[in-house]
Amino acid sequence: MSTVKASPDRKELARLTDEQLVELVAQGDRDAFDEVYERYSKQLYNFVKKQVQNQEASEDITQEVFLRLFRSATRFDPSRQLSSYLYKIAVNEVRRYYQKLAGKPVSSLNEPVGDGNDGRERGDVLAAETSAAEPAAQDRLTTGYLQGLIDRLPREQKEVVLLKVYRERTFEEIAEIVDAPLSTVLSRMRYAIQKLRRWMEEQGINEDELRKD
Amino acid sequence: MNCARIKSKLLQFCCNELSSVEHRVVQAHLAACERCHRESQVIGGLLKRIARSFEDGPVPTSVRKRLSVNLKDRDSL
Repeated sequence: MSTVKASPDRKELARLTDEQLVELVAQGDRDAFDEVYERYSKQLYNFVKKQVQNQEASEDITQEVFLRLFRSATRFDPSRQLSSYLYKIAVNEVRRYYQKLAGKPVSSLNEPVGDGNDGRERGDVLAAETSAAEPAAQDRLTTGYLQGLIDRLPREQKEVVLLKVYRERTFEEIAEIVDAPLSTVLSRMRYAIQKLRRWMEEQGINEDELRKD
Repeated sequence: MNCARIKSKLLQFCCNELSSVEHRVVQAHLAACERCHRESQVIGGLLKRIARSFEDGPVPTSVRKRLSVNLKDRDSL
């Protein structure tokens, strides 16, 4: 049974739980919808933008996430976390975006290079190509440098890294969001860390640098 | 647990996502094993550095405007 008062004012809305807000959104309450947007638009937009790296597409996808919430609020299961639900929609929309792009001639960072026999991917080559222009090892662990490496990860690994480290979701939440077993999520994260460490090592970064806080 | 088993738990250990029992087992191993201890520091350090490298930018106002328009269009149907 509903515990939420009909048409609460803005201050009252700010005190409501996510689940209570969705209940109001399901009744068509636009102020409640605005409150959900206030709570989640920034983190979702930035999460999406870091994946698609395209301003227009990031805006489209963020908008679509909230539209889908509005349309599906009546079917929302209150035993689930709203944030995980929104991230799940965002992950699916990003995948849909890449499926559309797949029909266009774009180069994937995961595609093999050369004859493909040495196991190298395009991301490895790009990582190696940038090394010559990089500054001294100690100065390299900057925001831009690390972001550049993360951008070269295979998409599914990058997705998990972003959800784990950037959006601070638990591995179990991530498994639900990306619709994969926990063991798969952990494997993707381990492979991502292995790749990042390998690329850093290839660029002369001593792992001891990472141990210094 | 041996080193291989501990290493398979380090990621969750560094993210504080092991059960309290497993956490204590890993912690005890790390206190006695320099190699695994170093590995945990590297993974933990990398995760911290990555976390610090992320920044949130503002959401363009156009997203909210377009959303409002779309919702109004929906109402008028």
